[in-house]
Amino acid sequence: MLSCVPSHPLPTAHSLSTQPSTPPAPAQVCEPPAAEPSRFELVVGARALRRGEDVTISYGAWPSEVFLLLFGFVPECPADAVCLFADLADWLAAAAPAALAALGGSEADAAAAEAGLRAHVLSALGCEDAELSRLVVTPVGFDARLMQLGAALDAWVRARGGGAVGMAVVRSRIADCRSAYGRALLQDCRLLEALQRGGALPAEQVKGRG
Amino acid sequence: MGTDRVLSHSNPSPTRAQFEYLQSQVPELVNGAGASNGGDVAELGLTHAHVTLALQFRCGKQAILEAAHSAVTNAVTTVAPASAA
Repeated sequence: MLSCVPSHPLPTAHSLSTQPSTPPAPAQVCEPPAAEPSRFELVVGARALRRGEDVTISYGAWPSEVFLLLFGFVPECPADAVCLFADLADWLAAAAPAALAALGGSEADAAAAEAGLRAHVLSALGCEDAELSRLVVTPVGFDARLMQLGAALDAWVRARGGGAVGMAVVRSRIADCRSAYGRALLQDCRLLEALQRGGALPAEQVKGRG
Repeated sequence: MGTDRVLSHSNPSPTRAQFEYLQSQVPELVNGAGASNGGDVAELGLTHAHVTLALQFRCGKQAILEAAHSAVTNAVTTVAPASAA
């Protein structure tokens, strides 16, 4: 069994204490109302606007789901995120088998291992289930809770004579997420450029990852 | 930290149904295999702009995953078990 040991710290995006758990972004977005004529009043402060000058608005920091669903554009936004684990149960479903494998356990031990691991990580992190939903990675780093869960997992496994597996769990999930796209990023970027130009798509650009 | 945007810029926002469909079907729609889903496309009222936006969305998510993959790969030393030495 391979074990994975972090050789230097990964960047983290936010911590358990500062990031309240939230449901997945699309679940926070209500269906927008039907389009209808609307108007608003623009109040200009001491700095006047010149004719033709762009007026901008700050939408705030949201994942791109929100911008696409509500506003019809997709910005390059550092607040964008990919959810790696929906909640603690999702993480445990990946972490417990990895821990068992590191300890040479059998599938028959899975339920007990998962229950023990769940109690351990909740105690180690000092939080409730509900505080461990939507474990994400963002353009600026990993959700700090993922690192905390990984450290707790490693401690649990090491206490039973096994090697560290916390980072391997994250790495494996990232690999699964990448595979789910079925097509490399570069290929999608080329497709996007072609679509934005309105031109025909070369056949070699539309093949899957292979 | 916010996202500045010119107010006059507007695009068609997909409905939730369109959004869910686009998330799973963008590659097929783009490469033409979406012809078999033509009924869905028409029923959902999807446009070229919708597909372009969905692909842009998809690229953003993939870029995050690629960076995460690199970060984890560079941060992790894979240690072979003693029995494999």
